[in-house]
Amino acid sequence: MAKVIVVTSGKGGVGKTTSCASLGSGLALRGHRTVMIDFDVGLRNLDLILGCERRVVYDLVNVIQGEASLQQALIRDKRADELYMLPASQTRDKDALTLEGVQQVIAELSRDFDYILCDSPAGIERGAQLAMYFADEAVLVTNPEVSSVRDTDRIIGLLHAKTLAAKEGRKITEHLLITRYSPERVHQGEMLSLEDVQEILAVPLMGVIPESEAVLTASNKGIPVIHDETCDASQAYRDAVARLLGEERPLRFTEYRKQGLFSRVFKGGR
Amino acid sequence: MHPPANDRLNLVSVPLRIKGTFLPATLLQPAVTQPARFRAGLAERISQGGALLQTAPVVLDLAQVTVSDSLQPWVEACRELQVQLVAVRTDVPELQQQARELGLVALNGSERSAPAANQEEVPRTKIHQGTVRGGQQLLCETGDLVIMGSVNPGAEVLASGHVHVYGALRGRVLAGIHGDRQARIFTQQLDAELVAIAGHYQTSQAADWLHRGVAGCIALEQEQLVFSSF
Repeated sequence: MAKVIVVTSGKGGVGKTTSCASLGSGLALRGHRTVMIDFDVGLRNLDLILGCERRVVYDLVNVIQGEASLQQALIRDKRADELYMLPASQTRDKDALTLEGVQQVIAELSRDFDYILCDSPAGIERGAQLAMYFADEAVLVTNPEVSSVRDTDRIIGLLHAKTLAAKEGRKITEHLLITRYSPERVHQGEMLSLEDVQEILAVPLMGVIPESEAVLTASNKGIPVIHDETCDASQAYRDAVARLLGEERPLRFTEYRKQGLFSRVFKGGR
Repeated sequence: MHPPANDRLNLVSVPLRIKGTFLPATLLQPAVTQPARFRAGLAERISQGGALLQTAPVVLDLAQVTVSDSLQPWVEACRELQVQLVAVRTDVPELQQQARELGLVALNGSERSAPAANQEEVPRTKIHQGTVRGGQQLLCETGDLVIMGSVNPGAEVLASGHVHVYGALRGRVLAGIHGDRQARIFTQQLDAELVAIAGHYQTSQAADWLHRGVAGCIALEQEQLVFSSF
């Protein structure tokens, strides 16, 4: 039986899809058979981040409506052998998804895979609720910023009320993933600190991804940033994957270090 | 060319307000069963300086005597003497009916009995384990509400009795929603968006003290919400 993990946030643009792609790649690199489902019907993005957009033939809606088989729709990742993805439809809207259809797809994938990552659309409407409905665990992607924290809080409320786990009296395991964290801006008081975010959300921390130019570059190239081993964000995602697998890792890239003269000269400052 | 400037204002203005209140009224209790004797006694009382009876609202209380047949002579006696009769208080259904026909309010005589210990109405405390998240609403209409966690921004908790928050209070909290002015709000860390007791409310924009960040209690004292730290 696969573990179903929803990657969600409420707010848009905080890095759900970017995180989903890197976490999925990370799990696959660690040898776990992993499939990612893009639930953002109408605004599909996950295939772009993975760089497989030109291989999309069939999508989730086709499978649910019986127009294609799962095997036809699944796309195998070029970089990680154990990684597959099920793209969203670009031409349909979220009403094309049905609860029974999603249930069938997840049940079928569950036989072949260890992890099913559901990349949720933004918002709290039907699409987001379908993405979380069958989840066993949730990765809550949050920026250190008031509105993002508040939207994540709202999503946690929905996880407790509108999921199958909640209806069966089970508890969804929650993981907080803070993205776009800049220790320097926290130091200057321009950004909520790790402690501020954790205090409000009261969810165990799974990782802190530092703000990094490498993330945008990687997204534009269609290579999940976790593959760029030289950058901080990749290291942070690898730590997060390890924690998701139950390992203990110390937090990195969260302390503000004043830049010395030499590093400023040689890096040309910021 | 300009649209009427008031249109928008009219949209948000409220045509009427409804508020619960207790108005003072004078109870007039006949001690005799004959309307004629009652009228004579009332006239004498007014001549001695009972002018208040002619200006303040008066309730005719028939609990002390048995008025068997008609309410009419009693009411007429009051009206002839310019007593501002507004209601009749009695347990007898026929008399209540007559009072209504005479254009008066019919009130029940007996006070409401206190609920017995084994009755359903006994206050029940509701306990919530964990944090109340933004967008969630918790309601306890039967008594106190205890939250073993925080109330986050955008969350709302309401109770007919007290509200206890054993975490940070960052959302909206309403105690005494059925009018209990003795209801209080307790919290470990006050940082609320809105607090209200028995309909008296305070928003955080208007009151900096809602963001003290300390533990304490909010009570209603002389129409004012007052915070005191522990």
